[in-house]
Amino acid sequence: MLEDKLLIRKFNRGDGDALRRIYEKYRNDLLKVAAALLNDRSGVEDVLHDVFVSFAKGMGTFQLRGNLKGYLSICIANRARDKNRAAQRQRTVGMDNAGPIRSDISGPAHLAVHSELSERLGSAMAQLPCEQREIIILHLQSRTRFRQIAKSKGVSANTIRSRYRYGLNKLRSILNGELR
Amino acid sequence: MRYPGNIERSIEKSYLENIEVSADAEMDGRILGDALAAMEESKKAGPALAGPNVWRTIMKNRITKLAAAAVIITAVLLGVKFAGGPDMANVAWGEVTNRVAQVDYVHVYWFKSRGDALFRQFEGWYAHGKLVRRGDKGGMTYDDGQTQQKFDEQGRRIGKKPSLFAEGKTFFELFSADLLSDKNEQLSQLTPINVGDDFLIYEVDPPPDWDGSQWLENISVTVGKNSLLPVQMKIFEKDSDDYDLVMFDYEAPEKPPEFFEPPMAASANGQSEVVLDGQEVVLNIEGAPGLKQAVVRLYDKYDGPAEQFPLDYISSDRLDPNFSRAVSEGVRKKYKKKGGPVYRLDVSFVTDEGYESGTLVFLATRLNEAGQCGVGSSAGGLDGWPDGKYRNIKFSPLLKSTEREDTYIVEIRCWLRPKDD
Repeated sequence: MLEDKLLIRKFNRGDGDALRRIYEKYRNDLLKVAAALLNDRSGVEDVLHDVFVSFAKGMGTFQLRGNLKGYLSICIANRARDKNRAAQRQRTVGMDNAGPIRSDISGPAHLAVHSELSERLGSAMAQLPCEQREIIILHLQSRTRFRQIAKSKGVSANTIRSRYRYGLNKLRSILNGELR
Repeated sequence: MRYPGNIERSIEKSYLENIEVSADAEMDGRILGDALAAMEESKKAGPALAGPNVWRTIMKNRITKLAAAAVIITAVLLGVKFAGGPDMANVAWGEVTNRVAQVDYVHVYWFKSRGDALFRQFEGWYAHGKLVRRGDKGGMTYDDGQTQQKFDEQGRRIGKKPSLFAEGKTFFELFSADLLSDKNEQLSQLTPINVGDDFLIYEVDPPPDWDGSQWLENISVTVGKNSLLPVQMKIFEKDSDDYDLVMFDYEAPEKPPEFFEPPMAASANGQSEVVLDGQEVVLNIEGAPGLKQAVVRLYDKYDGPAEQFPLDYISSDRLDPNFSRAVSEGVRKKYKKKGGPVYRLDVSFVTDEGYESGTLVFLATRLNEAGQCGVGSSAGGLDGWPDGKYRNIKFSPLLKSTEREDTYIVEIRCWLRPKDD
């Protein structure tokens, strides 16, 4: 965290190496968040690209509240949500018909999902409401705090906590249905 | 059939960890190239957004130029220093801790926020290496630099253990649970995140390996610009909007020396020898209305390596296994920090009516350290007694060694707290 604050200070002074360090430090985690949230994983690079270009534009005025990884992960989640909606409008296919996340994609980011449980979890995650899925991924993958997510959405931490719990319960019931 | 596993762990281990993402150099180049270009554009746009150069505007006009010169000359003649310059922004936290170490007397107020309200938790007075704390309900803690003793609001001693200052801590390290220690070299270089007219504000994040990093989000400390002493500390917990607010007053009138002397401790209500892993012992209780006897059993002395401290140290059919494990983990952490030996002491009470309370099976005890404990009825709850009355038994056990290796003296101080107390 202290390192992040130092990096942000340097970044705000226009230090390109600080931006490069931030990118290299969090790139892989952010790609995972994007991959877990996008319905079409071929868009992960676009999402990461958009978030970093937008972040770089904020040079000189960026103020870090909470942790940097959490902030960037929330940006990735917002961008992924926009992208999912845009793709949905284009295809005019509802989320329910979008099917589970698949791993047979090609592109600069090479992705794969292994194991049967992993496939089932991926399928169950895809059935969750978008907001619940986002909170679960942000909290478990990026360790983003409920409070930071809540601030970004303008709701209380308790609301986020509840959505997280509802999401987990729904996942459990989907998996229970499969196991039955 | 129920989904059998821990769902959060499954998501982490079986789903998220299995998403393999590898970015290649080409992708990095594209993203970083565009991001750096965007950054350069922002740099170019920066001065245009920065607003007019005030100094240049002043110096362009003859009248304003003369007025500015007059202000500077007056300031120099009056000896006024322009504060808030770059020097103050570079004041390292180490300088603050150096000043704190020189403080002889401070009055501290500790509040907790709950929603929009602030509640006082305790007041503290630190003077010349001694500390007195008064809780919001009137309980007092006295620390004379060697021993810390706790007394309840009735003046009964309910705890005794080595001083919190025994390791050479300052009052500020004590109040920040060591996080703001001058021994933290990384922290000593920290500079303020904000420089105001009168105050500097430091923000400290707990290092990942620090004990409290599981619950603490960060601490914000407001420091007087001239005195370099902390005047306010805000402690933010993770996943909560509430915070603790601590205020330091260095100008309050100093309390007299007798204020820091603890009252004479009342004698124990019951005392007996107990044998480690031996029979339970029944103590007759005196001077505690409503309580007749205490039943004590001592077992499970542990004095081995902290890493091998048994995580099933606390176990009972009455307790949820996760709770037992969490308590055992807590005991292990404390053991690792403070060393041993540690003993498990079970204590239950018999009331004047002959009702027996439950036992506290998770009472991990150290020699010569009294703790504050409480039990209700064996049925659970404080009003689940056979006659339906509310009874909360507060007690403080103290274990002392004897000349015999397997025999100890247990002292019990106890009282029955009715509902209206």
